[in-house]
Amino acid sequence: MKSILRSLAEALAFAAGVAILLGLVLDGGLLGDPAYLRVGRHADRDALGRARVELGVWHRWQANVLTIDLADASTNLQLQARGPVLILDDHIFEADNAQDLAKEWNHWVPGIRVQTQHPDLSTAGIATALGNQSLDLHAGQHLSLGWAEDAPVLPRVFSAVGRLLRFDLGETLDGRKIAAEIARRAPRSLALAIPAFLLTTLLTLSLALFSVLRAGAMDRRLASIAALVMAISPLAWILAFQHFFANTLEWFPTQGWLSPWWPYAVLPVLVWVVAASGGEFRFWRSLAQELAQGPELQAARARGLDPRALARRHLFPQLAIPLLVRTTLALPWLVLGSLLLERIFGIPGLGDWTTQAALSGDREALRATVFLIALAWLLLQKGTDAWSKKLDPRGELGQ
Amino acid sequence: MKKHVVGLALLLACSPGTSSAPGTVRIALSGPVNTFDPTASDSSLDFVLWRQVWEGLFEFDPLRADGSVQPLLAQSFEISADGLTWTFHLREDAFFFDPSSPPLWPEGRRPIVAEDVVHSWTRALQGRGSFFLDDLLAPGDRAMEVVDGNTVVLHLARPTPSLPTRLASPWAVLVPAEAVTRQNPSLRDMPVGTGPFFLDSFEPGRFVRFLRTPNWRKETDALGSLPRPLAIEASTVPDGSVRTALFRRGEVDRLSLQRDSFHALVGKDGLPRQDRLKRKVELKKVAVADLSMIVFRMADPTLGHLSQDTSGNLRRRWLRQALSLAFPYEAWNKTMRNGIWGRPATQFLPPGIPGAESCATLAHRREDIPAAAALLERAGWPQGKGLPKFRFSLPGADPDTLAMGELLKAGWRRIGVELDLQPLTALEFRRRVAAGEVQVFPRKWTLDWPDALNLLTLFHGPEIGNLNQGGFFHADFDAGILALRSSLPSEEHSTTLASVVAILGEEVPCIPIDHTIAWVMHQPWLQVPAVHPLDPLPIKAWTVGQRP
Repeated sequence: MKSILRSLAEALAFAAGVAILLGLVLDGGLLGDPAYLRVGRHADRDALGRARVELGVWHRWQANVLTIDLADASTNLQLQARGPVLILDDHIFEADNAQDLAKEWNHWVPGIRVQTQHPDLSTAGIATALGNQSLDLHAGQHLSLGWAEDAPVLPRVFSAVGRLLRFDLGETLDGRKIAAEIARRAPRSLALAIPAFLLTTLLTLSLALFSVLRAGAMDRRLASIAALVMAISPLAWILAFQHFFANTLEWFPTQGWLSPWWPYAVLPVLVWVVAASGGEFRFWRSLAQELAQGPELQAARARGLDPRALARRHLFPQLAIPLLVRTTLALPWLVLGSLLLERIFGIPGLGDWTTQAALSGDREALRATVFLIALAWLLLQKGTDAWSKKLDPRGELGQ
Repeated sequence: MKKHVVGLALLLACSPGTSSAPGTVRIALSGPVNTFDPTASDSSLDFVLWRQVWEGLFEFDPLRADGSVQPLLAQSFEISADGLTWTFHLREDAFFFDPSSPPLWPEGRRPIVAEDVVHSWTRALQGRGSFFLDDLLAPGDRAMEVVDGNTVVLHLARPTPSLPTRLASPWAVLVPAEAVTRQNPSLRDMPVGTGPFFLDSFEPGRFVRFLRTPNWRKETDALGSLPRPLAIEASTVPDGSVRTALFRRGEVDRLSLQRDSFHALVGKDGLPRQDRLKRKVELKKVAVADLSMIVFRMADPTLGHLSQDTSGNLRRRWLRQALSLAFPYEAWNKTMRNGIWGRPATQFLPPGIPGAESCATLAHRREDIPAAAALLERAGWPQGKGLPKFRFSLPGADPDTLAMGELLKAGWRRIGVELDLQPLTALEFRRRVAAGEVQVFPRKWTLDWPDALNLLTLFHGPEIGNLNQGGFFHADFDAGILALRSSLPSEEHSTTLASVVAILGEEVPCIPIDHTIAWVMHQPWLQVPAVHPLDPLPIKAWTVGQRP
């Protein structure tokens, strides 16, 4: 009971830690300003301001707070914000509100006429709305400035953490429920990834055992083939298989994911198995070689045990824990499928969706995906520890 | 033997064949379609599908490729003598169709009424496409008026003869208020339009299927009674080579050709290569109304126009003119356009835009290195000596974008001007351009409707910080734009248009490069009367025959 409670506390602390870290990274502006994606190419400052409020970047927005008329100005001016202060042509104006600022500019800046309908709004808010934009005010121009109140980062982070811990994954930039999107797309990624992973592991593990136990020319040949497979980029494998099997021979669909879905999964799974088999084979082969040189296997071999029995009774049981660990490490990523495969074969899975989210700066979608993968990883880690103890009762893994 | 038979059977089972029902048009889109809410997007991919379901009072003529407009839901219209009041009479046989269950109305349909126009446009004025109308409406609450059940009046602030082209835009469509207020399904996922098709299946970002609207109104125009498509299936296929492969296999009916696949599918004689395609496909050329340009930030102390420094302005203008003369137009056309994808933007405005023919050829839109070097020397920077390295910001780091940067770098080096490339992510590029943190940057503008002002507004002073990303400001140019907005087509109008384009040619706030030419292929079983650049897929006007 005590250990269960301890595990639960650990899991909660881990989840909260991941959520906070994600919040600091995503809400800290790492992905840029998604408001530009929400508004269209015709957007003006007002549309951008409204979008930032909808996205939670700003708390409040007010358009046309200061109207500036430079009809009588003889030269251009440059306006920029530095923190809460506005700088007009290298002159700092520290007026607290729009009314005082308008008075100061009207008094000190030749040829400028400034008016405000919102006298009480702060100068700091006008600076916030201007952001890091350096604005060139041309003689003869007429323009207006807005006002914004920043939504502080920390409350946004903690609000997002609270939502994640309640498993409220929120909505994408275009207003769709993230939980529903994940539930719809994850099975497709898994339909691709699980058969591919199982086939790759089964194939490469068998070949590695065969290679180590036979040694000699066969081992060298297999190692060379694996090196060749690894030397060719996965992208080249994907394109070559697609071109040959789908486009030329027309054995498989070129792309897509319609009902029934399984014909669309065959070729991607095949490519995955081939592209991943080189590296996997090398990994299992080196591990099996290491174990085969151990005293237990050497003694069994000396007793004249045949290679099949040697593999079944001695080599395979010792590979069980590495197999478990490798599977555990791979599983959370399998949910994402292969980003490249999903993209090129047009499979609407989680990998494709996450790539789109990253490219379009969709913070909530990325937050949910990374959080769920971290949680899956944590749970599987705990499961691995428990299974490892059963497989090898001598002690906990890693101790 | 038995094993071989099983293997063969498995492979045959995997082979997709042609599973679509007869009469289905299948298209592959290069990007995702995420919404059917006509206020929520300004992506041309969305428009292509919206137009199958939604309709407005006008449409681009699906039988012509010259930008002409014809009434659609408007049965007729009248314009007052001063051009400020437009009265539209709606056709009586048009209805909204809701395929969802339960539907919004008994039998899932209701006729359109004048209130729908006012409601739809009022809603559109709050959305992304608000610009189709917001600068035209007369001030006050009575700019749009319902006269009776099928008559609506629009009061404008200025005469706008090109109003029908604006009303043919994808934001000006009629949307029933009942569908807007319904939450499940929302308008985003379930359009309730008057169009020839209704949405049958939608997986956002991946796949859309439309079916023919039952008992859709009888066409009395040139579309006649030819067998029209019964369904449309549109899949998103981001990879161009995969789209090409699908077309070659006959799994999609239309292909917008990519640069890298053009020569594989089109022979040197300009005809489709029958040996590769194994069937007689049709190739169509589409002149896109757009402009690719290299923009200068006009507040830049080395390149721009600063009113504090009048004498310096002249030098900087000569510098921009020199840079325009040193632009590698030939290499650009060869490398970026393969010699067939662009038309030189020698008059700034895309050919075919009303008034474009009255504009003179731009003096500095030509490749002339000796003239560029002479201008640079005249400006006080002989062979580029004394000039800092310029920064060319790029919206990506893909090979095509980098190739564009390298071309410009090599071109300007010929007159001693050095350039640093600054590849950015698309989002960061947009932010920096909006914040004025760039010096030289590429821009492409596709016109929303065939009107010169739609392009020229990109240089209008009041739009600085919004559409006017380079920050160009010129009092005479702005006055010209205002004059164009308030005048009707006339000789004076054409003269003013020519004069404002001439200002851009002289001041060079950007280097106009070219206008895109698109190439489209259709399968032999698809009859496509014309490819309109602003409505490339009016599928209702297509005929789909029997596939082999």
